This record gives sequence, structure tokens and C-alpha cells, in this order.
Amino acid sequence: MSWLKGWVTPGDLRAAGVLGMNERNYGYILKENKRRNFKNVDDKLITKQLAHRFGVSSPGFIGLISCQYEIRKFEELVAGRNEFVIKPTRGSGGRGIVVIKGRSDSGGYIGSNGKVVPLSYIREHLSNILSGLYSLGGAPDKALIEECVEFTDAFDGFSYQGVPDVRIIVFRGYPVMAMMRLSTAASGGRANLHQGAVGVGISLSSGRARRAVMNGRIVEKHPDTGRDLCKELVVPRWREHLNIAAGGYEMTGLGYFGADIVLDRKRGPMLLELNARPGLAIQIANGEGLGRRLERLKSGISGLELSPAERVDFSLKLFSSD
Amino acid sequence: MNRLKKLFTVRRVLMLLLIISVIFAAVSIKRKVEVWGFTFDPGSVTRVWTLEARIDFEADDDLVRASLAVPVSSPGFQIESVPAVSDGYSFALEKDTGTNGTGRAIWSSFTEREDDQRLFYRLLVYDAPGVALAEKADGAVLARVDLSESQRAAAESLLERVKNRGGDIPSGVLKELNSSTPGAEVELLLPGRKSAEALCRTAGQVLSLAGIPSRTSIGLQLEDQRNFLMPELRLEAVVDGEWHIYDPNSGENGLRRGFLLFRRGGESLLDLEGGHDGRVRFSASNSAVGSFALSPRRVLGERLDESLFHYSLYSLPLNEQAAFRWLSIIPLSILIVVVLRNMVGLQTMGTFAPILLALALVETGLLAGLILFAVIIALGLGLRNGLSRLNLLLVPRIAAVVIAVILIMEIVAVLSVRFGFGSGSASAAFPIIIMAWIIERAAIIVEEDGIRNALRQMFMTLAVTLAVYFIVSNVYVRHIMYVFNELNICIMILVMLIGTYSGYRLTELRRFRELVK
Repeated sequence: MSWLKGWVTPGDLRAAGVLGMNERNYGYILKENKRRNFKNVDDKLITKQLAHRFGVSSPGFIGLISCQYEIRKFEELVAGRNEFVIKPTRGSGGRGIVVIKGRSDSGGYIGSNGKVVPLSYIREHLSNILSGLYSLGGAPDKALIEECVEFTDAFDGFSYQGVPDVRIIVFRGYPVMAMMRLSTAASGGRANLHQGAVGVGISLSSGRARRAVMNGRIVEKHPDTGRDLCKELVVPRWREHLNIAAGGYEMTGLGYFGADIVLDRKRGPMLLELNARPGLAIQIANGEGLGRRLERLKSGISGLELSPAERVDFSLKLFSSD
Repeated sequence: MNRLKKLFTVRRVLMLLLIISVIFAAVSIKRKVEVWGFTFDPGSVTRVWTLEARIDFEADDDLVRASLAVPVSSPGFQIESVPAVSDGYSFALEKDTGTNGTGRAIWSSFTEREDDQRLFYRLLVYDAPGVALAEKADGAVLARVDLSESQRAAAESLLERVKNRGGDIPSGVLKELNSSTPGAEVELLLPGRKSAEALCRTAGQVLSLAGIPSRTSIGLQLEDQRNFLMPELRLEAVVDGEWHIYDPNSGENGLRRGFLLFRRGGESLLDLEGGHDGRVRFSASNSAVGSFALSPRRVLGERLDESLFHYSLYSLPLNEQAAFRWLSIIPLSILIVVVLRNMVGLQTMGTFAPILLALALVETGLLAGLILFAVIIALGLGLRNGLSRLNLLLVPRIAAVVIAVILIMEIVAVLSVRFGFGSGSASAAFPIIIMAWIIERAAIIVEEDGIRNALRQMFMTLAVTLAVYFIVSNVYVRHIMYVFNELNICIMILVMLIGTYSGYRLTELRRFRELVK
């Protein structure tokens, strides 16, 4: 039965508490989230406004381009800035995001990978964003221009270009599981696991790396920088990360989401975006099923209304062993 | 209250609906098969006979009125008369005059006629199972007994023997009369040649003595290799209040397959006024017609279930039905896509693109279609690559790709005809907009996730397309999904049920293997 090697039975997965795609969609995304609340996370502009209202720090706002003729105003918007990020407000999976790190001599810009990005490319890109090329369902979209995050040097050598960010799954306001995504040369500086980025499971209680996975395989060291991922990687100001994630519940009203958080050198942890359909690869990064943790939370939490900090305390106690 | 809620979970309600819909489909399919004559086999054919009656007679220099007994219905057959046109005669068909199942075709000349006259009557006859043979014998009268004393005695003794032996009396009497070693009674009752006519007459007399009314019928045995048919006599007798039909030469009860009753009861086959020496000659030829194509004529002709049929898809003109033939295969295709996406876990470019591509492949043929698909996508991607340098807005850019796809299709069509690779219009079967979107999406995936991911998604899309194709291209599946369209209700509920499936996907059994210790 050699062809069966590498396959497991549904019973095995259930015993391991693995959350499947259908269960995630049916039991969590559909059941825990009210439809009208989706816009709070699907539209990054609304998320940004909510974060501002709730006092959650997020990357500084530079400008918004909402129709084709406004593209002409682009250069005016970014005048005097060397670093900024262009995002589709309704994009998903990091698609359509362009990071600019400087200006080139020829009047263009320099991307995060050090290559020149001509202005004409940015104009086309903005136009594509507005046409809905990157949005969910292809609906017309807006382009958001934000300040670049000034990375802390705590992660130097852990990431090849790109932003190392932390993804925390939050269920009914309680943090459930966390991972860090590190871009690699293979992922083209992007932090998407399916493109070859490294996923690092982060211990909820300590902010330390549990294990690291790349393309579904366990890795010890970062493939490009060679730094030991498991022994040396610790997320500073971890508790603040958890508090921000848990606070996303009050912000959005969603019962199940993923919070993407980056650590800024000066401003500390910042909410980058929220995701109503967080992927399942976080289980592989942690070497543990999400399903079991979710079940434990379901049976453990009381009906009392707790503050985000109190909920984090609860989660830390419940998942203290990881 | 909570208990009630538990009992009526979405899944359970859908389960119940699925069971109901399956039962409904089963009942409805049974009805369609039995009453409407629909078949599961798209190749199933019904034999259609063209039966022609030729009447020859000598006119008496007078106004002529000829009347021919014609069948209106006959057990095992559906009959359709073709209006008969004969020069100088008016024609009328009188149905249900006299006995059940027969009518009379009547020709009346406009003026006096003389010399040889010839009239034609044509019928279309096809197999139709399920038409009852039984006819109530209300008001049947006994034939007058016209036998000498000695014959009467012989008949009574013969009858006694038949009754003692038990079983069906008319059949027994006919068997006695046909006996290969006839006794004295038979010799007395039926001297000379045992023609069918004489057998019927004598058996009728004997049955009258037993108090059983009888009559004769005429019919034709339709056979494949015979063009000229002789009318054959049958004896009918009342058993248990209904007319039963017997073969006078064997005593066999019932009709043989392919026997078309032409008239039942005592009426004459041909009545002539103003003419003499009338002869009727029958000839027949047959052809095979698809059973399904015949069903509207069958249902409407029989007046069975007429109103239901009128409100079914199958009463639409054939060219309009063709569109629904295509539509009715889509639910099954969707089911396959839903299963492959939600239960197997394959990802495709666009949810419904594989269905439209598979339908296109059915029209083009598999190999030609795949080559065409590859050519169009490859050329389109090349063009898209060039367009991306022009920094066009999204919608105009896709519009340009759409037009380019059309042009590519035209060029491919011309080339394939010039160089003899199959039909030229094949490429037109591909859904142009879908192709343009696949090109656009593939180009973006190449830009963003690399060629490997683009190829992987393309491959998965093609795999799903092929899975749909192999089911959709099956003529049986296509036929059944159209003809028994109630199955689509079952599929709809099944798809909804899959919408509540929260178990693991097949691909996840591999993806998360490492989490199992």
C-alpha cells in the first residue's frame, strides 16, 4: 500500500484536533461571524478607522485614491516621502500590495526588493486596484496609501526582505493560536506560506518560537540568513500583541478572525489588518490542531463579559502548556 | 423547544427533503416510462409501421360510397391515421361508430363513377405498451343457433367434454374443433375444410349453446419481412363479463405480439354502395424512430395525461428543447464541481469555468478541444503579456483580450479546415469571456505567485474540467438528465446538503498528515 503513504485517515485528523477547511467555513466563519460585520475586516479603510476609534495603533494614513482621475494626485500625496505602502482596501491574501522603500534617480521609486519601480507601473497598478483586480469578487475598489512600518531590529536575520508579521487567531475575543510569517527569497519577499515563506509557531504564553515550517516541512534555520529559528526567535512585547488581537473582537464584532500584527521600532505592536478567513497553515506551523483548542475554549469560557486583557489572561492560563 | 430545534437542524431537514425528492423522482420516472413511453436508453427505438389499405372495386356508373373498417386503437399499438386523398372522392373518418376501438373510413364520390376504382387508406402504427385489451361485454347477445338436431346433439356432447375437462371453455371448444384426430362430432359440425371463417362460425354456435356470446374480429399480423398482409379472423367470446380474443386455428387466448386488430365485433370490413367486386389489400412497411422522439405523438394521440404533458418541457418545439437539453446537464456538472472543490479540495480558476469548458469539449471532441484550448490560452497569454506593457485599464484590457480570443478562434478555424484537422467551427464552442478571464487570471498568478503556481492551478482546472467532461460526454447521462429532469431536484438538494458538510477534504488528509502523531 505504498501509495497510501503520506495519507492519514479522517479519524486520525479528528483525534489530532485538526480543523479542516469545511469545518472552518461552516462551523466558525459562517456561524460565529455576522455577515454585516465582514466589511469591518474586508475593507482595510474601515478597519483602520475602527482601530483609530478604539485607540489601537496602526500604520499611519497617507491618502486614499478612490477613482481613476485621482491617480493623477498620487505624486502629490506621497510628496516628500521616500517610504510608503500601496494596498487595495479590499484585497485578500496580501495580493496587490506594493511596498516602496525609496526613490530612484530616474524619477521612479525603489521597491522593497531594491528594484526600480517606474511611476507608470505604479499608475497601472493603482488603476488595476480601482478596477477591482485584487478585490474579493472583482468589485471596484480603492487604493490605500500608508506609511511604512519601521521594523524593529528584533527580527534581523529572521526574514529575507519583507515584513515579518504575527498572525493571531482570535475566537470570541480569546487568542487561540499564533504564528509568525517570515519571507524568504523563494517567496519573493512575501509572507504568504503557499508562496514559500516560513511559518513559525509562536507559543501563546511566552512569545517564543515553537517550531518552524517551510513548504510543509520542518526547518531549523532560515533558508536565506541561516539564523536558528526555534532557539533564538522571541517576539518582544508579546503581551501587547495579544491584547491588540483580543481587542479586535470589540472592534469588529467578529467571533472568529485572524489579526495580523507588526512590531514597529518606535510605536510598538501595530495592527496591520484583520482577516475574516484566516488560513489553516497556522496548525502546521504550530504542529498542533486548532480544532482542539477551539473546543477547549468553547467549553471553558463563561458567559461573562470580560475585557480584552482579562480574556488574554484566560487564554494564557488555558494554553499555558504550549 | 430546544429538542425541537435539534430535530430540525438544517442537515436533517435537507436529508428529509432529499429522501422526499428521491421518492418523488422515482414515482415520476416510473410514470414517464410507463405512461409517456420515455426510455433510459437514448438509442432505444420504436418500430413504426406504415400500413396501407388498397381498395379495388368496379363502379356501377353511380354515386359511390365506400366504407372501410379501420382501427382507432388496438392493444399494444398506437394508431395514427393519415388523411387519405383520393381523386374525385371526399373523405371522412368516423370514430367510435359501433364497437370499441374501431372506426370507419368513408369515401363518397362527387359524381357518378364507372369502371375500376382504387382507393387508399394509410395508417401509422407503432408499438405502445400498456393499452388494455379488455373490453366490457355489456349487452352482448347470443348468436342465433342454426343447427340441425344431430348437429345440436354433437355440439352438446362436445361442450360436455370441454366443460368436464375444465379450463377456458372457448379455448377448449376451438381446440376440439382443431383436433388433428377429429371425432364424429367434429366431422358432423364442421364438414370439409376448416377455414378460419368456418371455425369461428361453428365455435360461435357451440358457445351459444353454452350461453356464451361470441363475435368475430379481423386483424393483421405485422411482420418484418412481409409486405403484403392477409387479414386474419379472430374469435371473441365473453368470459367473466369481458371480451376475450382467440385464435380460431389454435384456440390460443390473447393476441400474439404484432397483431393489429382492425375491427372488433361483427361489422363488415368493407361496405360498398354503387360498386361491386370490392377487394381490400393490405401492405406494410416499417421503420425505426427514436422512442423519445415519438412520445409526444404517443401521449397526445392517446389522450393520456394530456394536460400534464402540455405543461412539460417535452411539449416544446424541438429546437427550443435543444437549449434545455444543454441546460439540464449543468446541474450534474455543478454537483461534480462542488464535490471536487468541497469534498476533495481541488482549487480551480473560477467556480464554473470547468463546466463551461467541459461543455465546449463535448462539442469539439476531447483531443481537438484540448489542443484548441492550449493554443488559445498560449496565444492569449502571449498577447496579454504584450498588453500589460501598455498600462491599460483593467476592463478595456480584458475587452482587448476577448476580441483577441475571438480572432484567434477564427484563425484557428480557418487553419484547421485548410489543413484538415477536423471541423472549423469547433473553436467557436469555447466560452470566449471565460477564456479571456482564464488568460487574465493566469497572467496575474504568473506575476504574483510564479509560473509554478499558475501551472498548478491551470492543471487542477483542467483536471476538474476533464472529470466533468467524462460524465457530461456520456450520451446516456445526457439523455437521462434531460428526459428525467426531476433528478435535478435531487441534485439541488444534494448540493445544498454538501453545503453543510464540515468534514475533512480529501486533500487535507495529506496536507495535515504531519500533525498526526
